Amino acid sequence: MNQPTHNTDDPLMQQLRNLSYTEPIDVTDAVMARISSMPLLSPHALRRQRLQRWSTAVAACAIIAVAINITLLFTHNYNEAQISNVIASVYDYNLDYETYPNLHQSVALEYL
Amino acid sequence: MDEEEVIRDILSGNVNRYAEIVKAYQTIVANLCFKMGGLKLDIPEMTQQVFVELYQALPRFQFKSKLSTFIYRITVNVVCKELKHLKRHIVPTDEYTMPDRPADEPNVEQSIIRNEQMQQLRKALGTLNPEQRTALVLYTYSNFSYNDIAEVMQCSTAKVESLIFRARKNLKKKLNP
Repeated sequence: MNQPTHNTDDPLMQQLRNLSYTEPIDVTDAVMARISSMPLLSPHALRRQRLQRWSTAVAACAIIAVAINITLLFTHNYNEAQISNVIASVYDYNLDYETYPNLHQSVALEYL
Repeated sequence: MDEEEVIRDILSGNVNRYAEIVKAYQTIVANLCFKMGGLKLDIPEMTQQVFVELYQALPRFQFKSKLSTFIYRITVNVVCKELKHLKRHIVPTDEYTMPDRPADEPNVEQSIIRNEQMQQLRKALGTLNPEQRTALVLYTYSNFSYNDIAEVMQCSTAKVESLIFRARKNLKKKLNP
């Protein structure tokens, strides 16, 4: 077993050991008063509470992940893909900007 | 006091027996709070907080380690949390200064020298980083092994050895520049 040497000859360690809180202290009544209104959870209840915390955390992570996906879909990937597709389809039918400027504007307004 | 019996008794509903644990450990907890954080921490309040948190954590105690180790771990956590809250990892030097006690030594000169030495030590201790200070303070408890300290600090024994080595070196440097 890995034991410290606790060298008693070391004056520094001796001084550190002598360093102490010298005021009298008795917090028994105060602590007992504070804990009197606290329910003491059983190990079973404690496990259940821990499980609930984990479930909440997992649910929160899932919601955040879905929110991020939706945001990416609608703000970045979805718009670019859709816009290029629509513009390409416009050009496939030879509906160029010069001839049909209103159509292009309405497409842009729809998707941007 | 059979600690295991007392704890089982408390867990089964006899909460009044918790006073036995408070009485047995309050001085040790107050000392540890003082050594780690100095006087600005409000030692009685911190001691109370430790025992309230210990009470809440009691159902988690699995009787695998010593109760003292469990209490020290909670104390270290409570003090570190408070220091973090106060944004005061390095305790300003004067906050370690205790009011002067009546001299134990018959020689007044010796008493003054001793008080000055202790004040310097408190100041130097306050300048160590929290991890080094915690390890060194726990190391001063003669019944504490490196394994116990590692358990309290939740790190490896190798790290504890390293922290104590560096803490002692830094402290000596501060005291004898």
